[in-house]
Amino acid sequence: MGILATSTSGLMAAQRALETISHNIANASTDGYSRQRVEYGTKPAELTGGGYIGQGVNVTSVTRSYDQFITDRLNGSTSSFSEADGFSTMVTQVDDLVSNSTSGLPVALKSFFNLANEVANNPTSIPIRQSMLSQADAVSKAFNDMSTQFNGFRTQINGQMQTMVTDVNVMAKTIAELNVKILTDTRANGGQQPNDLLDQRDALLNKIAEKVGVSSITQSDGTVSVFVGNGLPLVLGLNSYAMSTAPSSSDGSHLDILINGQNITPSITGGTLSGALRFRDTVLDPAQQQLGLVAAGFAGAFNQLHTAGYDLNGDAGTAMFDVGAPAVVPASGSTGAITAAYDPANPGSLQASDYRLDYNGAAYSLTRLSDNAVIPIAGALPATVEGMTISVTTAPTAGQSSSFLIRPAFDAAFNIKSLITDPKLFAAAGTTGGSGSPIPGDNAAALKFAALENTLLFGGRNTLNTMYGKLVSNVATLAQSGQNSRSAQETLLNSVKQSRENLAGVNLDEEAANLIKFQNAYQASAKAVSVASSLFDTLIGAIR
Amino acid sequence: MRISSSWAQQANAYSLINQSAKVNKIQLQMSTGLRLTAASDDPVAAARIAVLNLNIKQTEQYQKNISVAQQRLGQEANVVTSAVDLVNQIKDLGIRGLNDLTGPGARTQIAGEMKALKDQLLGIANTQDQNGEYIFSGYKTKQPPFSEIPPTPSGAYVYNGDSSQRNLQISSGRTILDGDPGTNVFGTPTGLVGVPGSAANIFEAIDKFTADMAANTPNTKSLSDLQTSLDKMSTIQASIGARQNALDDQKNINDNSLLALKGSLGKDQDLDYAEAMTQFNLQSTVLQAAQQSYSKVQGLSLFKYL
Repeated sequence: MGILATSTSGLMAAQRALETISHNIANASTDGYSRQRVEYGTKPAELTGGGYIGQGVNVTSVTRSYDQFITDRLNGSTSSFSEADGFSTMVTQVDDLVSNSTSGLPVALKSFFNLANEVANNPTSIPIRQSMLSQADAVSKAFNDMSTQFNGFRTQINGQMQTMVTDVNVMAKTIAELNVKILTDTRANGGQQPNDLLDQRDALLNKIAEKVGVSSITQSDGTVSVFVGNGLPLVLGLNSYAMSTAPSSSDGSHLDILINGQNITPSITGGTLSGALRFRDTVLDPAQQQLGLVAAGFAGAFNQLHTAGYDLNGDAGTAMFDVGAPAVVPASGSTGAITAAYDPANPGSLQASDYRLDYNGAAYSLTRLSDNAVIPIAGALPATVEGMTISVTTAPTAGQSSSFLIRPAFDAAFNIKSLITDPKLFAAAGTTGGSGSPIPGDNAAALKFAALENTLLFGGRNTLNTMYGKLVSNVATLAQSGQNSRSAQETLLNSVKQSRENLAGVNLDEEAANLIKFQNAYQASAKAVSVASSLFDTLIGAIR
Repeated sequence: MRISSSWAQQANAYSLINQSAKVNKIQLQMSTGLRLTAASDDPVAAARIAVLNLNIKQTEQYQKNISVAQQRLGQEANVVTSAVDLVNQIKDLGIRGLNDLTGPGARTQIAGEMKALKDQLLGIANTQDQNGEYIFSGYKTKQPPFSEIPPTPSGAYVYNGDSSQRNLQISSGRTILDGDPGTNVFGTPTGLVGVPGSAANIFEAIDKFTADMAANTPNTKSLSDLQTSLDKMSTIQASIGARQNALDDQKNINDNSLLALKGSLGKDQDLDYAEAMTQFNLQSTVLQAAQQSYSKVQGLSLFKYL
């Protein structure tokens, strides 16, 4: 009977192998699948007078090809690549927007200054003045348009962040559920690994790594815990926690990411989420500040010249452009009200930065947020610094700290509009004979408007065009380095993916060869069964 | 080394995509003729290109300003030439009239001709340009420069303009005066009847001369008034000529500048077609090779032989 049992065990073993091979073949294209193989062991041998007789083969387990090190590297690379990819995609969009040289802001500004020249050549011509006013409107609209596009990107990012957070939460919950299943399945059968569930969990981890950089630890009971940010748990054993988004207390247009009530935005690294945050902080916000600076500087400088000129009615010129007033946002818990206005005499002192006005209970202090420099204001308000005048409308409560965010550049491009529509009110003349007695042929002011194009505003170092040019350059450089980074990360990721695939991927030719091998093994064992049967027949025949 | 079937497939697909993308990029460059499709392709060159474009457009505007100035100075030169011609005619008439042999009847006739010529002269002094601006009124271009003080004929004139001269920008550091105040060309009027020998304003001088001629008592000193006026006009003509030369010079400088700027721009911005075509051929070959090898490799499978 030994032969029958032994060869039957061979048949079963071959069968298990063939089942596993067909499982591999069927899942050759499944994402995250690790090829499985059957492990054999011999059955305990039986001691006879002639020695130990083997009793056949045992299927001990089905294992999957898996390497923890490679898997961790894969998740790390996936996070790095997704961050570079997310960043690069968004920066390229902004790059395309600002580097368009045939339309948009630089073209509108150029036409504006060309028309200023034409007015200087023909100061009494009403049609030319009308064109000039239309062009002033066009310039304002060009600023508005670009600012609106930037706001669109910001909305896009906020939407993306919310979607990603929701996705990660769903996946985290699923991982916790898988942890439960894997724990029960492993315990139930004395240690056999539920390979497909393990593969599923790994695939989910990789998907989370795409969205946000995480670190994972496999506990001794087979469950996996996932940590995000600076080690805050997303999945801890059998429980999952959810991330959430909330508007930032310091800047309402920003979203913060929270988990368990803690703000983890600054400590997120890796993943598309991190790429989006980096884009917002290093590309979008600075570009918006820079654009606003150009708008506010242009409006301020032009108004300064225009109000010093005289129009065709003999009156002094009025402001041509309006940029509103710098926004003031009190921090939560602050008392009192602060207002800020642009200083019409010093448009060149404006900076592309937000400011924080702190009240420590007794005196004020002003910090410029782009480089954290403290701006001296002698502790009291009103103060005229950096191109703006800051004053108190309602004093904050004494003895209590309050803090205010002041934004002179951020919204300027969105707010700018041109005010004058009557061509006679365009102040091209440098002198007047009094109200009602204009000097129509005087073009002295118009010559100054035309020369504004080449004037060094902005701290005496940059013209309007070089200031805008800096914006374009910054974005272009970041876009270029973003693309290079992405290519580099893609190569790294592909290399790690290849390592994993080399180890765990299914090779159809290999499976085909194994099919033949185990098919032969099955046939051989089947033949052994038939031999055992014929032996039995022979034995029975001998007794008859 | 072991490779998985699905990875081999993916790797080939990536490579096809990448080659395709490279071919596309070259195509885009060739169809626009520009080396840069976005500023990120070469940020440093993009910044240079932006500055060059600005300088070119600015220089082109200066050329336009120069045309306007040339046209105005041309008009002024023509008017002053006509004025010189008219004053010379009046001078000839005056000389004839001063001749002792001329009788009172002839003198009356001469006075009539002189008046007609003076009216013409006043007309061209009050010339307007195509904007309707009076060219000899300084900044007060909506008012005619010279008018006779009523009740006419009074022989006294007033200058309604001012002494300002308008500047036009012809290069980033240089302006040119596009006209002259009427008082510099035709003399400052006193507002009273002219005194022969010291009548600075040509109209007051001519009116006095005409009045004397009609009254049969022409004064030779009036001739010196006419001569003074002719001298003034020729000074203005010289000044206009000098300015016109300056404009021509600046126009040439600007033209050369434009040429140089456009050359630099071309170097930075234009696609080198020879190089692009070579690249394109190379990339297309690579793409073709990738595609062919892909289809060959896909056909290799052990399952075919089972």
